[in-house]
Amino acid sequence: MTVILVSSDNQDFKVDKEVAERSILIKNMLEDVGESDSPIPLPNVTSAVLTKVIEYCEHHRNDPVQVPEETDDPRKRSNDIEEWDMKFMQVDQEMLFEIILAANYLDIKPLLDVGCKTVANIIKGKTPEEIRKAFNIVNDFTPEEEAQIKKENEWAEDR
Amino acid sequence: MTGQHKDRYVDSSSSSSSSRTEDNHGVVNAITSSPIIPTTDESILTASSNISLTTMLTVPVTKNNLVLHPPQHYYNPHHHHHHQRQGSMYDPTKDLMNALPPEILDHVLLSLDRSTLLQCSVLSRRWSRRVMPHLWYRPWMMYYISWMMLVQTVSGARSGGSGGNGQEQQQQQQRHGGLMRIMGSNPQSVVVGLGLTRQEEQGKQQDDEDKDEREDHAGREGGRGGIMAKASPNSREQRDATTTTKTTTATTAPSPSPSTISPSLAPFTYGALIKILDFSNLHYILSDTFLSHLLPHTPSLQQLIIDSPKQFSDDSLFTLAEHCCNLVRLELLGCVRVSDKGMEAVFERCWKLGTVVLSNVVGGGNGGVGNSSKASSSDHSLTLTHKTLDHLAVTSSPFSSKDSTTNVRKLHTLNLANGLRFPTSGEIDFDSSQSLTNLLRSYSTTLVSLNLSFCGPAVTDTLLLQFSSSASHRSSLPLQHLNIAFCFEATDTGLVSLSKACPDLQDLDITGLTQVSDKSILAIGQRCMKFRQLVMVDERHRSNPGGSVGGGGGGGQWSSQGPLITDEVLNRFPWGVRVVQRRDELLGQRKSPRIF
Repeated sequence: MTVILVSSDNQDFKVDKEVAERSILIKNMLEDVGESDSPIPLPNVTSAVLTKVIEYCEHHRNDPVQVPEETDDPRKRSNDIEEWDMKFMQVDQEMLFEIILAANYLDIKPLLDVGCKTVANIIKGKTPEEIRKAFNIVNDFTPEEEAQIKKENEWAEDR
Repeated sequence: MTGQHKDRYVDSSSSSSSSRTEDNHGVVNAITSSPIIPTTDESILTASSNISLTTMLTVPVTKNNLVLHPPQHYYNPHHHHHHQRQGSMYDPTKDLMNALPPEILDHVLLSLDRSTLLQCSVLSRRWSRRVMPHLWYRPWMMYYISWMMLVQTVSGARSGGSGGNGQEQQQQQQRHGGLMRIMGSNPQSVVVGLGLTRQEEQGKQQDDEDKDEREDHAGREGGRGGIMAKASPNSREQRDATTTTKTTTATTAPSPSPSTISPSLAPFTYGALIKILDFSNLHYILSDTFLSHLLPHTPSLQQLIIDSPKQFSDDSLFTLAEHCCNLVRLELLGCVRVSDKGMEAVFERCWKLGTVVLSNVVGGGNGGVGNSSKASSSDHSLTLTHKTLDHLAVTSSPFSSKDSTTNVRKLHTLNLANGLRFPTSGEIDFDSSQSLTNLLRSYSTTLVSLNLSFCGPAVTDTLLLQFSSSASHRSSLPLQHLNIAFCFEATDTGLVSLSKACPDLQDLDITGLTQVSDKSILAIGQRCMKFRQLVMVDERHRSNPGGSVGGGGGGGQWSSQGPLITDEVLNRFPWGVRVVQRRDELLGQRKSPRIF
C-alpha cells in the first residue's frame, strides 16, 4: 500500500505506507483519516528536503520503533551516529537545518536526533570564534562582557 | 520533543569510529588539549567519543557514497564556501541557527560536553541564555557543593569588614568573587547547613530534581530578561538604598571593575539561576552583610527560608524587596529583629508571594510548634506588630496596577505561629485581632493552609465567624489545613461555622483548646468529607512541661488540659481520622532539626 505526499512546491511523492509512517505526524494523520487515497499535503517541506527525508525513512523502514520511556540522562547519552546516517547528513548547512526542521515538523524522532547530533559535532572542538564563523553567529557581546561571562562560567568547570 | 532522546547507534558505530580515529592525529590532539574534567567519568567518555565523531566528519565523501545518493545534497567540508547548490536560496552569511526553534537548539546542546558548552556560552546573547541552564544543571554539578568554601568565604568577608574607602571597595569586589563561588557550588539551590554527606546521599534524588529544574528553566527562559529590566530605581528604592549602603556601593559604583557585573549582563550570570535559598540551619553565618551581597545577584529567587539567624534585620528585607520580585515563598523563622517596615517593603514589591511564614518572630517565645526551638530568648524589643498584618492585607490587591486581575497576590499559606505580639498576657489585643481578621478576610478565597498557633487572644470566635462569613456570598473557602493550637478564645461556635465554610478541611490542630468539644468535631464530620487528621497533643507527654512555653499568653494556662473530644465521636468518621497526641509524631512529618 502506498500513500502520496505532496511537497510545498506541489511535487507528488509516492511512498510505501510503512515508510511514510516513520513520521509520527503522517502516521497519526493516516490513522485519523482511515483508508484513503487522497494525497497528504506537507506545506512546510520542500521537494528537495522531502526527497532526503524519504531517503532516510526508506533506509530505516525496518528499524524497531523507539521505546517512549527512555532515559534523558546525559551520561548515558552517546554522540555516536550510525555510519549510514553520518554520510546521509553530509549536506550543506542549509539542507541540514531544513532536514532538522522537517524532522521536527514531521515528528521523526530518530532523524531529529541524528540532525541535532550532527550540528553538535560541528560545534565540538571549536573555539567560540570558529563556531561563530561556522554558523554566522553575530557576537552581540562586548569583549568585556564576553570575558566576564567566560570568567564566571568557568566555575561550572571542574575545580 | 526535546526531552526524550535516545541513542540506538552506540554499538554499531563504535568499532568503525575507533579505526578512523587513528587516521587523524591533528584532531585528536585538538580535543585532548581542551580541558577535561578529571573527576567525572562521563565527561571523559564524552570527550573520547568526540574524537571519533569529529574525525569522521572531516573525512571527505568517498565516490562510493556519491553513487548511492543524489550528489547535490552532499557537501564536502573543504569546499563548502565555494560550492553552492544551484538555484538554492542559501545565503552563506545567514545565521541559520537563529531560525531554529529554541527547543531544537536545546536538543543540540544536550549532546555537548561541558567544555564545549562553555565555549558556546559566549557566542552571543541568545546562545548564552540557552546555554546557561545546560552548563549549570548537569547532574554532576551537585557533587561540587562545597560547604567548607561557603564558610571560608563568609568568614573572609567578615574579617575584611573595616578598612579605608578605596581598600574597602576592593575588598568588596573580592567578596563578590567569593560569593560567586558559593552560587557556583550549587546554582539551583544553595542548601546550606546540611553538610556534604547528606548532599551525597541525596544525589540520586537531586538528579531527578535537576532534570525538572532544567526543563522548568527552559520554559521560563523568556521572562528572565524582563526581571532585570525593572531595576530602575524609584523613590522607594532610593530610601531603601540608604539603609543598605553596602549593596549600593557594590552595584552603583561609578567605575565598575571587571569583576562587577553590569546590569545588562545579569540575566546571563548564574546567580539568575538560583531559585531557592534555604538557610534553615545557618544560624551563625547568615547576616545582613552576607545577604546584601548575595541577593542582588539572584533576581530569579523564588524561595527564601531563614531560620533563627543571629543577625538578620530589616536591611536584608529591603535588599530582598529591591532585588527579588519573583519571590513566591518567604519563611522567616525566629527572625526577632525584623520590623514592620521591612515586611512592608517586601509585601509591596513581591507580588508573587504565596507562602508567608512569620513564626517565632516574637522575641523570647519558644513555641514548640515544630519550628525552631532555638529562637533567641533574649529580651529584644518586639518590633513586628499588627501593622505587618495590615500591610499584607492592604496589598492583597495592588492599587498601582491597572490590570489588577493578573496581579492580585494569591496567598495560599500563612503561618503566624507564635508570631503576634501581645502587650499583656491574657489580655485581648484589639489591634492584633482586628488586623488579623482583616487579613484573613482579604485572603479567604486563596488561603489553603493557615497556622495561627500560639496567637492566643487574637484568635477569637469573632475572627473565625468573620472568616467563615466570606464563604456565604461566594462559594466555599479552599482552606485545608488549620492550626489554632493554644488559641484559647476559640470555641465550638467558631469551629462549627468554620466547618460550614470550609468543606475541604483536611487537618486541624486544636491542641490545648479547652473550650472545644465533640460538637465541633461532629460538625466537621458532617461537612468536611476530606478530614483526615486531628491534632490534640496531650501536653502531659511533653518532656519539659511548663518552662518551655513562655512569652505568648501566660505560661501555666495550658498545662495539661486539652480539648474534650471523646473517642466515641472520633469513631464516627467512616473513613477514619488520624489522631495525633504526641508532638514527636508530628515532628517526624516535618524537617527534623539538625545541629549546626
